Amino acid sequence: MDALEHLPLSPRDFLILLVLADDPLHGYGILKAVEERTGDEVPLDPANLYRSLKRLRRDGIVEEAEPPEDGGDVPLEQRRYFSLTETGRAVVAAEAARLERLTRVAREARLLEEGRAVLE
Amino acid sequence: MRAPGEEGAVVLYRLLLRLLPRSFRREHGEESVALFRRTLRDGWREGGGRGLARAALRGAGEEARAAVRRRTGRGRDRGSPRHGRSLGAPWTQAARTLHRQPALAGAVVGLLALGIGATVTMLSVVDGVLLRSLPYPDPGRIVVVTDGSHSWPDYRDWTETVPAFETLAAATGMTFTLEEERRDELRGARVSDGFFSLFGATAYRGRLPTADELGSGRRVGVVSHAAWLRRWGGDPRLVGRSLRVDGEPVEVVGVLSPDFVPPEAVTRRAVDLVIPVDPTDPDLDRHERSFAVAGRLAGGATLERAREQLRARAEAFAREYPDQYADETGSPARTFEPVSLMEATTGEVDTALLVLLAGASLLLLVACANAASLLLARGTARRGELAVRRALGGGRGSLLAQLLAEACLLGAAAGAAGLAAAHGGVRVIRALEPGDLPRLEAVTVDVRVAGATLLVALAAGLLAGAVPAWRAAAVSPARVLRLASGGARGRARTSGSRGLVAAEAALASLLLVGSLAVVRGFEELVAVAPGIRPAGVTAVSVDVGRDAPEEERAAAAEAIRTRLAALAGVAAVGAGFSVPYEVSGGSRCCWAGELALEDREMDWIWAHPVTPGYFEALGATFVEGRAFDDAEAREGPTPIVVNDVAARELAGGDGLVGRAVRFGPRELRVVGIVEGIRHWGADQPVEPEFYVPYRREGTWRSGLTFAVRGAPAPGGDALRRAVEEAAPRAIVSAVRPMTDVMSSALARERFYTLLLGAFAGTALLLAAAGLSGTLLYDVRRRRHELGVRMALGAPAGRLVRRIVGGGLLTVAGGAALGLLAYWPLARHLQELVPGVEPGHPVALAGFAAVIAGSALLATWIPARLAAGTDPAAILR
Repeated sequence: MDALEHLPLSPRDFLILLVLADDPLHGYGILKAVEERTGDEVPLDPANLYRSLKRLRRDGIVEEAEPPEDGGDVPLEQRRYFSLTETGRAVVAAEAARLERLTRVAREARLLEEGRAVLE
Repeated sequence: MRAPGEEGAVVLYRLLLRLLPRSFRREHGEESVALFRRTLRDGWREGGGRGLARAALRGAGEEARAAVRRRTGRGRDRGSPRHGRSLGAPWTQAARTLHRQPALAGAVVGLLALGIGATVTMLSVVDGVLLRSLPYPDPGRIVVVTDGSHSWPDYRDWTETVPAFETLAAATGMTFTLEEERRDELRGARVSDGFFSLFGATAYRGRLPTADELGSGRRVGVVSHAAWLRRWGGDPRLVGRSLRVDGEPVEVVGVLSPDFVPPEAVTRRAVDLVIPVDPTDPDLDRHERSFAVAGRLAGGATLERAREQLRARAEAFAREYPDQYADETGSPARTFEPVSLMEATTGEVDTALLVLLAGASLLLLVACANAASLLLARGTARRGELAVRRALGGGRGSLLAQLLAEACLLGAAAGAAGLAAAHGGVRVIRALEPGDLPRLEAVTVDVRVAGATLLVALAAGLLAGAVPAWRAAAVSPARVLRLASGGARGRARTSGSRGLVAAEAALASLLLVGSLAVVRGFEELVAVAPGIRPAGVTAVSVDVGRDAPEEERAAAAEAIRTRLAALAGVAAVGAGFSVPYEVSGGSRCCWAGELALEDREMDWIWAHPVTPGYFEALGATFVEGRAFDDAEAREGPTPIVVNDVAARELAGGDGLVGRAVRFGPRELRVVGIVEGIRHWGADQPVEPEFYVPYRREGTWRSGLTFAVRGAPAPGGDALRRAVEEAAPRAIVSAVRPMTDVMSSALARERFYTLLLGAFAGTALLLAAAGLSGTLLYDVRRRRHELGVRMALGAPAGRLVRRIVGGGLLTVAGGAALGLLAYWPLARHLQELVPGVEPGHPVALAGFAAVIAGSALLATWIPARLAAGTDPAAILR
């Protein structure tokens, strides 16, 4: 499947895929990781997260992963792990490249300096 | 660690999840909930209350948005914030717009909140008094036998002869004298067996009296929870103690449950001590009619069946005891009409409360119309903005959605404010205790009322916002842009706002004319000649000794009278069973009998036992003759004073003084004729009455009210002390100025009148402000045109006349509509104040004057503004 078919990604999906790029994570882990990286910029709530995961799985971008080890008494929100598929990895890379190109355009238009928006 | 309020938030979250597809819920539902719970806890741990709130709002808010999106089918969620915005957009946009115009938003919210507050307050009263079921088991099947009070033998008879009743109970509200360290009065009731089970009373401490304790000669009683706390400080040792009540020992066997509400149609509102009736009491004969009787309909029995069976008993009684139960023709004089307990409790006030609710709703409608005209004017002003948005491709639907969202937001804000106002309103009404309005304890602003408020508020917001929204969204971009660019200045439509003003005028007129008729009726009630001069009179209610022998009571009454008369500043003192206006509807002032003069007989005349000094103290007016004095009252032929009504009936009003009349077996001598005194209140007619010395005919009763005339009368403490010094066994239960007694007799009518008047006055103000505002806006909008006209030589006077004339015409049309709507409704006003004449000329004239005056005033300011237009300034 062509990764470009899935572009552009919504910011929410992009962030989910980004945090999954390192390691498989459970729902709670994804929520925490997204929050860590963006603060409050992209609000992610539980059901939204799972809806996105469901869709991303259907599209073959994300798959359910084996838990690292069976901890037994693990809370529900930490039982199921998710990771990127090969397609997923390609999609997130393609999206990053697309954003990169866009950012370059913005910089050439002198809207960005050193990666920061010029507000004045 | 759990977060506070976590469970509530989770319940809400689960509810919202239910709106999502089932497949999703199956797969991820529980996981979502677990994760939501986790974020709540994290939020609480990291950010305290704020963090918690943020987590809750984010979770629930996002879910609500997603759910609505799904339900409305507006765009599938593809995780794109762009789609999220498409639904939230009208709301965010609406909130932003309103935020930018705080004055307008505040005015609209204030207006609607006023109407909603009034409506919800009345709604709470109607809900608490009329709609909520009574707090008894299966209350719909409890029935009260009306037609006055009944005797104990009546009640006993019905328990056996009226099978339509499964349980039957008799009760009588009364005042007990309680002797502990001091003597005191205690409100209470005597009840038959069956009372506690009929009304589902349970014991909080101890137990209820049992059936076999009745008639055993052992006297037991239960106290109310409130009295137990108030009087005995919640002392658990009260149960088992013996109290001295009316001179006899009564053992307290229990404390009633705190949620037991005495059935006020049967006993009275406040009942602190309940003592079972002793059925062996020889005084309980057919003459002693003092019981209210209530029963539960047997399974399958109907009110109709009970009515038939009771009517059959009335006929049987009339045959067996014609003296007491039959009229002259031998047919039953009593009906024993059964009515539902609800009807018996609230029947007197139900229509009045509904009329007041209707009044408050009219006020709300006026407020809606007012808010609508504000929004309409604003809509006209916003045409430019809206046209630009249309021209740029904004669909009409999305504009409409935004405008309606604005209306909803305004309605919701007004609803919240109105709910707060109603909360205050209900507290005020409960504190006022308007004329013993029944079931006041059940009146609260609760979830039911809050739910209703939400609906009312949204309806009000939409009502106020719908027309302006439609109008504004219907705008044609090309036309408006042309107008806005300063091209042809067309005459924009003003018919909408004129129509609103006319509607306001109609609604306010409806309220105003009704209110004026009620005010007029109330004034007439107040102006009724009471037959006494109440100023300077203090009424002192005293029990001169319930358990004392009759001679002692007479002596105590006399001692009290002498002692009070000796106080500095006291001009006259006299006592009767009650003072005028003190008892309404009952017969506690007197009893009825037959009075005969030679061959002429009056078969219904009220006999009032009073002490010498009674007429002087109250300031009654003698038509002929005089009052009886102490010597006459004590010995010789019994002297009486008759009122003018009785004198006319008995002797054509001529030569009655000095003659002998017969009262049953006794011979009495008429010493004077007095002008009629209205004992039962201003709305009741003066009946034939006569007054007889207390010590001759009245000492069977120990409750007296002393009228003390003074200039000024001594203070309450001095009066109480004097009574206690004169008669140690006496108990003073109340000291009130006579004017208070009279005004509290009209408390309910006054309450209705004030409330309706307040609704009408506010509606009038709003309508006038609406008219004024609309005209002002009109004049400002047409400044240019007016300036041109004046420059071309139009006299300012003509402009003023045109504006005033237009305004008056609108109001006149509205007022006519209001009057048309008034006539069919007017008869219900009788329920507020008896004797109201809906078409009273004074009320109608007042209405015309007030409407015309307000309309003139409301048009004058805009007209002045127009006349003051400086053509030069405008044309330049």
